[in-house]
Amino acid sequence: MYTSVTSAKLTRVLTAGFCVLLLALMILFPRLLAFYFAYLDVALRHKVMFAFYLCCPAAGTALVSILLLMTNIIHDRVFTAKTVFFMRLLSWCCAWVAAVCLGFGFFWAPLLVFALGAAFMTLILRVLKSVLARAVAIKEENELTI
Amino acid sequence: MAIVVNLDVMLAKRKLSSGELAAKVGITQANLSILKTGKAKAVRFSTLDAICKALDCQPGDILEYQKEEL
Repeated sequence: MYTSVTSAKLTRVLTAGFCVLLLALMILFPRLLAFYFAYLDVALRHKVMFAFYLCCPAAGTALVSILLLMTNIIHDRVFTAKTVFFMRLLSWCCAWVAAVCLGFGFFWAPLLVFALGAAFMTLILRVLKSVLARAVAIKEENELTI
Repeated sequence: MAIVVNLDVMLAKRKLSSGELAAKVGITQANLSILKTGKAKAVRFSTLDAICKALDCQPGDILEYQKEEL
């Protein structure tokens, strides 16, 4: 039966898959860039590659955060300070990617679209983090209501 | 918090233990401990009612307001 726990486990499996994909991309990115963007000059390709590798630590951190967050949810540790911390970390990872893509977008315009998308994700995650932080505070108050 | 819960005095007067009071009130000893140590954020009227009934006292006998020094 499909429950919230099953859903969280599925998300965890998908996140693990994304981790593998990220590792594969980190290894194959130069070849993929040379194949699909052969029309770009070498200097520009290097800049795009540099931007990608600058984003990789943020992407890795975000994926690990999601994994840990899903593990906590599976073990019923939802409304805790740690969950708020992971949401905050996720938003900062998106903000980092937005900043990198914005910076390198001046060399290659399509990166500006990624910057916009990442910035919007940052905004959504910040809102969700605020909602969760308030929920944690309300839960704590309820737990200490005798 | 400026509201202090003075359960120990009434417990001694009525010769009741914390465990006995918790059982009479219908709350866990852990929750009673939270109340006694001033960690509680709020008390339900139903709980206050049950405590006063168990200790045969007034809310003022167990609740005290202490002005916080700035």
